Amino acid sequence: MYNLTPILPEMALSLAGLALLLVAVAPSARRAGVAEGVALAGLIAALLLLPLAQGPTAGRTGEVLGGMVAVDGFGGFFRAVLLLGALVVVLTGARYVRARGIAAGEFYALLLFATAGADFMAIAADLLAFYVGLETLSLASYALAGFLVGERWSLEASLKYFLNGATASALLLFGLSLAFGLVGTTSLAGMAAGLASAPWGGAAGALPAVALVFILAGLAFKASVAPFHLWTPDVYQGAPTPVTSFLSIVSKGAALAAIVRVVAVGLAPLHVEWQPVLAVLAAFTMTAGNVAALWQKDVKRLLAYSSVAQAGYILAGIAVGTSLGLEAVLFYVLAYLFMNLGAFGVVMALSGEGEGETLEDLAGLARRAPVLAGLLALFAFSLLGIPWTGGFVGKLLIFEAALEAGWAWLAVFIAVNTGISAYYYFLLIRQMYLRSAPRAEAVRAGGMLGAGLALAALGVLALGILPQTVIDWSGLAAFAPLP
Amino acid sequence: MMPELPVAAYLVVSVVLFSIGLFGALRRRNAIMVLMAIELMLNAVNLNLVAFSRYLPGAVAPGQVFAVFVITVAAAEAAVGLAIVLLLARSRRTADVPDVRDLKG
Repeated sequence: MYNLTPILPEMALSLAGLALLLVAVAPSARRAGVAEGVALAGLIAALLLLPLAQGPTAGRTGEVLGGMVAVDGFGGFFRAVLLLGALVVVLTGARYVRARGIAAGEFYALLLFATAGADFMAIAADLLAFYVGLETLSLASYALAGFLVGERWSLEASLKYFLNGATASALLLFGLSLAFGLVGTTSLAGMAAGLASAPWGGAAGALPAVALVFILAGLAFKASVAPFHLWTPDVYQGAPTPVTSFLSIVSKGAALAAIVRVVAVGLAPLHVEWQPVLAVLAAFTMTAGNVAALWQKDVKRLLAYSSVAQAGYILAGIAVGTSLGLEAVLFYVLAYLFMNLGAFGVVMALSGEGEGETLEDLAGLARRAPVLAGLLALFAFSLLGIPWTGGFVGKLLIFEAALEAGWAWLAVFIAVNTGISAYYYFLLIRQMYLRSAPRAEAVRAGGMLGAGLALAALGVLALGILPQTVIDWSGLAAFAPLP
Repeated sequence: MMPELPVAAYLVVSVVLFSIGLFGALRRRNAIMVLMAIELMLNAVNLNLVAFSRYLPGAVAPGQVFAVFVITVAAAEAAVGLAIVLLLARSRRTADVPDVRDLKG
């Protein structure tokens, strides 16, 4: 009998998800409220169980469940990030779900199942666990993107996401099957050992590189890394905003964790090959995201391209390949969680009122809702990287890590891209503060939405003003997955 | 008794199968045809896994178990995909991907 303690959080999520499926068929007039309660209870229970699942010694590396999952600081850190992300999504998205008449029971059930899948990607020590986690996350996400059944855009987003995602999964799997054929094991540690010891010569010498290309292409799609990011703006715009917010943080975060697990750990002996590839992809991703964001009129599309660019910064930290780089990645992911969820939270506060989501709708927001405008400005500053915000410290850490490891050109790319992104982040702020409002009525954001936004704002400021605690924590976590 | 095929023979078939699938996934207009092309790609993966597990020492269990998981997930994937296509066909009377383009992208 296996000890199931290390996966208690995921078991809590799955149980809550099953309970939600019952809520969905229960005859109740207050179904949405009950569903929100069960979803929040499941996520909070998972977060509370996480220290128990990680065990007494933080940062220890041990493979459990027959070598399927690894209990280490890295996995614990990412699980905390993913669970916290899903929690903020439920808090900020609840009003939107009610206002649009989305079937709450099924919606939150899929959200929790997807989060459990994302968790498994972060702690996977075996290709099998990684693959099942990935598909649990993906299949639930395809359905979630289409939850506004009556609206054309939502279904279109769902279809595009599904067709692109399923193709990317097949590419990834083909790469995994080749990698398996090279070493004869599905364990990531075994794969690293096998690749390091085998003498690759002649025609077989190209096989590891071929496997690497397929695996990278599949993972790059999931993390919306350019040139595999073209689905991102369409899906982010068409999907219900809580789902967009979920995809931008939980789905992307899990994909980035998987890149570290599969590429940086499992294929570690090939680092001479993948480091320059990841660095070029990172530079391309931040540039493609930032340049395309310059002429967006729709706020969700703008934030979609912005999140593509953000993934580029994070990928740069992974490409650097040092433990300092990984530490910076962990810090940045946490900062990105708060600032991006916050920005989407403000968008949901507006769209819950039945308003559109174009830049024009933001005009004069500072007069109609000074607090919301201030919050969006804070999140935009953090995404841009203005001092005293979490985004600034994170970007600085990645910049330093790149310089220290001798990737000067990558650091230059980060700096130039920050300059480009200033244009559209300030465009948001200009709309809110310097344009007159077409309408006068105030926008309300109380209750759970307010709590979610407050949590995000606190996170951004705490990471910006007191980063040292988190740096220590992520330093501990970053050490674990490197072989 | 026939001589055993070398593992490279299986690899050639799987690469051909995968290429046909990828070509179909990128070029087909009809969403259901794209779905079928993706299934072809997954079958190429399964062929790889099972062939490798036959030839590599100690790899029988992980390779075949992985293939079983791929088959199971592919069934779930087809269910989700067909549900999306069905909803789309109901609302727009089409299953052709290029007809679905309200979002500029």
